[in-house]
Amino acid sequence: MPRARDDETTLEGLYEANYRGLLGLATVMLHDRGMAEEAVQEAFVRLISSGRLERGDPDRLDAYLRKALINVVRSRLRRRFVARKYSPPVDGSVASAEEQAMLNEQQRAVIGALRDLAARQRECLALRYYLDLSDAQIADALGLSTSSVKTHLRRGIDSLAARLEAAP
Amino acid sequence: MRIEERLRDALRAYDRIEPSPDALQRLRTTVDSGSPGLWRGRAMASALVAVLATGAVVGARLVSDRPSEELRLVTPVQRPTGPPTTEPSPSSSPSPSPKGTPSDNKTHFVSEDGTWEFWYSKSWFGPTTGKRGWSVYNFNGGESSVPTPIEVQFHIVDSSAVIHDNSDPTLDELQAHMCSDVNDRQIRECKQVEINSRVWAWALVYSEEEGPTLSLGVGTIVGDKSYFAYGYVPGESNHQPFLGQIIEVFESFILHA
Repeated sequence: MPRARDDETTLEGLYEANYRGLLGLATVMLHDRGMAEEAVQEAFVRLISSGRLERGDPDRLDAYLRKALINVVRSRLRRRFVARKYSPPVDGSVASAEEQAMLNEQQRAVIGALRDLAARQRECLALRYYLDLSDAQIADALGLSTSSVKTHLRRGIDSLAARLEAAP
Repeated sequence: MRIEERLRDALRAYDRIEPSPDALQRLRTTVDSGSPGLWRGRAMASALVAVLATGAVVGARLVSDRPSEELRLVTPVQRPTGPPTTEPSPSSSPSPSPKGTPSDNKTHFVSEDGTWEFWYSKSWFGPTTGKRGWSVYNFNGGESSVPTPIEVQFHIVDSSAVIHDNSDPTLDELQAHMCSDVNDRQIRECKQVEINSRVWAWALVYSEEEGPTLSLGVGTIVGDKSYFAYGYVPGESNHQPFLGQIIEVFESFILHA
């Protein structure tokens, strides 16, 4: 269904067009629905705080949100790494992101293999196969050249296939 | 099923994750009432302009009375009025080059290959509670006369950022942490700069292959704990070489003796 571009320069329009997709992306990357929602909220707040909402066109707002989210997610990952390393394990009774997404066994295997990839490969694959972004859009979101994106995508797919084949 | 299709199928399942019921309302509140996030951004921008225009530097202090306590922020203090700093101003300089301004090699260094440089001043922008920010000015390789503030997320030191506890943390350990990467991304260069006798800053550059990204961090050792904070230069600057990037770090972590 064609998207109502005119509405996407308002907060409500931007929310409708992007929020759920960004939430799914952040959940894939962060493996934690609560953290993912906070990350998406922060990306939106950054957009609002930047003043772009009043003057931006929809494409640029979309791109800004994606970039902001990627940066928030990266920061969260780094921060969480340290917290996990030096903190007691978290309560395992909380439903995992996979449980909330109701993944079947095969899908869990794919997501598990995706998480084992190098960070850039994982980011490129998630942006391509979840948000359906073009090479140029991925390059813009990640600050890479399009040739690097192609390389990461190709290597990521190869590595993903190898990991899934090797899995019991 | 091809691997691409399997991946797409698995990722599509994440469409089932519902936003929290109040997600949009929380964002509306941010817009309507000027929540801390919005306010923080505005305050930072205003203070930034003031600092650049006047050369005034607003300071803040982090105080730790006891090593085991989380560092806490106290009221920012205005530095005594003095001559304007030599920091570049967007309005007064047609081509603000970082070269020739702070010459103190403790606050300014150039990478070994000369392609980028890093510096900071003891400036701090706006009071915050949970987070603090520093700002990076992208001069587009020195060609632009108007610096573009680039938002960099910066986490205040807190309990989750304690990296060495119940031990005798050393600067070497802190450096090893600050110059490493969670995801084993390839690091091209990591520079350490002493801010003062207790606080150090690190600039970490990832390799070209991984996408050139600059990560900035500060760390300190208080008693038997070490703390760190960090920020990434966001993607939009990554297309640029690091040449000419000027980094303003807010008030460095000055601790009570």
